[in-house]
Amino acid sequence: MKSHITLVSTLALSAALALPALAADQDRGNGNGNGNGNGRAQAARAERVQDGPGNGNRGNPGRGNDNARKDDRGPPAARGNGNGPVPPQVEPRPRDRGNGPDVRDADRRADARARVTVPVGRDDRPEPVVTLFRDGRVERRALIDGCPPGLAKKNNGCLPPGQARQMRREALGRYDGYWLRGDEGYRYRYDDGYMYRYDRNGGLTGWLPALGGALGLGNLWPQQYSYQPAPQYYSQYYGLNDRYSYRYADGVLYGVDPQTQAIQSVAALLTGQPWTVGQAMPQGYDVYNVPYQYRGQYADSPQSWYRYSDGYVYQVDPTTRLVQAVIQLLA
Amino acid sequence: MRNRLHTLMLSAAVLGVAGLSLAACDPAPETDTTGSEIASTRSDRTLTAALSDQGDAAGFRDVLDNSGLSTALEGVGPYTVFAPSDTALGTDADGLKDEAMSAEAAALVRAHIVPGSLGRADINAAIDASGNDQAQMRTMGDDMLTFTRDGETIVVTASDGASARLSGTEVQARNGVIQPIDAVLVKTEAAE
Repeated sequence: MKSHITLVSTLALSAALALPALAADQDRGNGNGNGNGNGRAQAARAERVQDGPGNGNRGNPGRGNDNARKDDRGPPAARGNGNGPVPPQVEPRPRDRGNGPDVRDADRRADARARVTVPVGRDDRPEPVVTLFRDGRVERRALIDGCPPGLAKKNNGCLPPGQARQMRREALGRYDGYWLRGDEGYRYRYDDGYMYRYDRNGGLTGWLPALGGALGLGNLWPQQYSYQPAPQYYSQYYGLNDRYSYRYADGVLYGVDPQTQAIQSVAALLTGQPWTVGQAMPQGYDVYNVPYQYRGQYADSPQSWYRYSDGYVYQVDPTTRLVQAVIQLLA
Repeated sequence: MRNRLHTLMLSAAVLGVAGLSLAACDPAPETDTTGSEIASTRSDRTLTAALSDQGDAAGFRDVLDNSGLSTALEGVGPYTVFAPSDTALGTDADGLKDEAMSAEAAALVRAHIVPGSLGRADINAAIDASGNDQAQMRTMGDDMLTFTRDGETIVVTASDGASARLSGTEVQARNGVIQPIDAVLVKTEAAE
């Protein structure tokens, strides 16, 4: 017997990183532009969501090309340590059989919801289609490896040996524990707007501008710190206005004055966790957390779980924990 | 003030009558899987405003203001905020509302927020379904919180070992949930 379920799904491509960083009018919520050029997902194939794990439902992660950012203002050490763009996503899509909404039209309206009807039945396997949407999601930023601006790399991290010895002797500050990131063997310090990571020998091995510090309200955006323009979807979901340009960095969506480059607001907090259709859901979403107004529509069942993260609801296979679909929450 | 809020106290029996279908627009779960009563307060205000209504979270609200994150908690969200009581924050509430401590304030606030709307019934259900009596959620500070139970009380523990008990009454605000807790979920050096 054949049945159908309807999924509201979309895909996101965090392609925004290819955009120039400085031009304020270019980072106003436009995650489109040139970002698709680096995705290699056209070779990927996706299975329908009802299939079990390991059925090839993995898109080749399109490696956003950091090097393509001509004006990447991040430090050299920022490359290749998690600061890259989110890989293009792969979404199960049926062949357009005329029994559902016009998915081609949905493709053209990349910002709109794509309502997809997925047939359930062995004899009616939909042809998987890879779709790249212009807007995207964001990814958590790792600490920037290497030496912050102004500190050259020494044999022992970025600090001269004398300073490293001094660092080892210093007692931890009362709030140094606030900066722990779960990687043992390192110590973290906050100083004058920046968080620093030290190894066991006191060598400075990483740094990051801190929310509330260098990235505090009223401060100018640090010139050495790269960011991702707010993806279009987030502009819609979070209702971002035109007053500011919006920038994403390390779990925070900032509103920045396009004229002065001063940080004026924190528009949203994000986890930046990677959710990819066909891959395992990130750890740390054990609890059903769908917004109350959507619970009737997306209630957990033995067949599917639903989890909310960063403006999307994700459908997950309870057994395999594989992400089955990405659902936008635009009215 | 809290008395301006509408307090819901629903028993498991009532939920049973409701059939637990949690029909489409039911605003919130109000019982847990053990049949215990869940005290839930509903507010049509934002998280930031609702925190001001909390009688025992003035210190956390001050820290939130200093962190620069108040606007985020006035936005769409939703988020779940684990709000330490004034007693839990102690003298750190004064220290962290100093303008020079806004980065530390932001770090503390992020460590107490998780994405989405988490009612206590949801947490209890996740613990029950886990098979190992615990459930985890990732914070906006990129840490992992682990939920367990001590009797009927939900206990939340951060990766550094800082632990708190969910206390008081959860608040379902317009853009998320406030879960009062009796301790801070990040350790300070003096506390070790």
